[in-house]
Amino acid sequence: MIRRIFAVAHLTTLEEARSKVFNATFLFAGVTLYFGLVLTNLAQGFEDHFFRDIAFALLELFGLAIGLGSAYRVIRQDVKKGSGVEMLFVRPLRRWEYLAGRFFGIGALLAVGLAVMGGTLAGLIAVKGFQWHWLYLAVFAEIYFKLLIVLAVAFLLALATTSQASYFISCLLVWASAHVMHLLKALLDRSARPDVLSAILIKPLAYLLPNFSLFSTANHMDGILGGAIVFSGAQFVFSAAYALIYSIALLAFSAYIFSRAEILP
Amino acid sequence: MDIVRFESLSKVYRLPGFFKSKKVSGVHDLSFSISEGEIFGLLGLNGSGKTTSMRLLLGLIRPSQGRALVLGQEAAFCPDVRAQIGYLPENASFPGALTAREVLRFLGRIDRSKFDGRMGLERRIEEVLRVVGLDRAAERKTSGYSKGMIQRLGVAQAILHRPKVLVLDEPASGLDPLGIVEMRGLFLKLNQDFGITVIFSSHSIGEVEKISHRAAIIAGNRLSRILEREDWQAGSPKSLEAHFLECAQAVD
Repeated sequence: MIRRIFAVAHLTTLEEARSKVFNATFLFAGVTLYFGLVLTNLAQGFEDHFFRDIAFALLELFGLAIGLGSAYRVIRQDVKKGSGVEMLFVRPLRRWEYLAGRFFGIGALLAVGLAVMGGTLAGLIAVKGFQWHWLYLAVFAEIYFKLLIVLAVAFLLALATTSQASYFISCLLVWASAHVMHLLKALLDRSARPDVLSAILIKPLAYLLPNFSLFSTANHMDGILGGAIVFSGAQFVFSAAYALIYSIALLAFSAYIFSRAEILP
Repeated sequence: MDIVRFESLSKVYRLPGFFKSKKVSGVHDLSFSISEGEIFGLLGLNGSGKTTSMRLLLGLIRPSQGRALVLGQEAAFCPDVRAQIGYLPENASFPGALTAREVLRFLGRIDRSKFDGRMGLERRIEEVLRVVGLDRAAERKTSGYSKGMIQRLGVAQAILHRPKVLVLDEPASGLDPLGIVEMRGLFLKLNQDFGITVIFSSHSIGEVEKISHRAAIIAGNRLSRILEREDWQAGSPKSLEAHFLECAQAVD
């Protein structure tokens, strides 16, 4: 079982790496460098702050692009169009093993991509003379956790949606909603007179969608560096466990759907 | 001994519509069996149900009724049975970024127990590449392969794990005349030298009559007739073509 999952994961990284997916990291370097130069001139006094915020946002966006693009290629194109996978499924490979292998493969690819982009960012920070802090590594890790969750969502949506547009729009909606839904729920909980409709519209989604407010080290970076907020290792471990459990649960659901799917020519 | 058995097998596809889905019959009430060591041809017009029958047999799609058995079990639920099947789909495609050797290495690793370690797998890959005539193109990425080369790689992956049953969906599709002759020779050799049961579909009467021991004619999604080689060989009252036309016209 492990060997089969590893074989699929290895194939995935090989395929995707050769599909020049890592070109995105060069683009990342270029865009981040551009913002670094622009901000030096426009945000005098706050260059460090702006550069950091934009670089983290870009890191997540580029990771998102790599993850969603790869998931689209390996799941939607292969499975939905039946090109090639039928030769796999007439072998002793279970469908959940295939999905798990694909997930680990893209997960490994994302880890390498983030490491390369993170290294590029560290280099740019050094070149610009900005201050480096070890907490940036925690931010990179949190971005990776978020991307793993989005990847699991992408696998499910790749199996469930019927077009390329609906796949990408749904994935981006989930990604965006995951950032704000718990904020909306917190506002609802604090409201003195919460109306029923808002509760119906917000609460189920807040429980169902991933909660990205758990990965907020980047948002609190100024407070942490200023000493107003203490970085919690326990919270970090909890968020890692949350990402793992959420991803596994979604993958298990995807595997259930996939096990019932027919591979049509 | 029966190696493959179709038991009252039916498949109804549901084509999604705006308000309700439309039902279309893939195959209806298919019942026949194939013996070990046979070369069995499935002959039918386009859309007659040949591919559906094969996909049901392989467990890629679920039957609406009945069942298809390989070695006495349904392939969909039994990985050990699937390990005994080699399959070549009509439009085989492979990851374009990988070489033929890498594709075969990956597929071999899925079913590692069939090979004597890593070296055993490498030896077997070398062997099948030679058998299908791709040994000189093994290090080229498959994105640069012609249709014929893809088809050969398809055959290579199908025989890599030394299956007992080879299921081939339109194996001559897209091949030039020389390729078709070579492919035919290869299937005969696999059947005669290694006792592999070969089940293949075709809409080419010539292909079926040249190598099949038996043939089933599928027309209008139903089994019309099962014929022995003696039924169409020289000296018999009807050619395979005459049988086929009779079945096809009966449906019209």
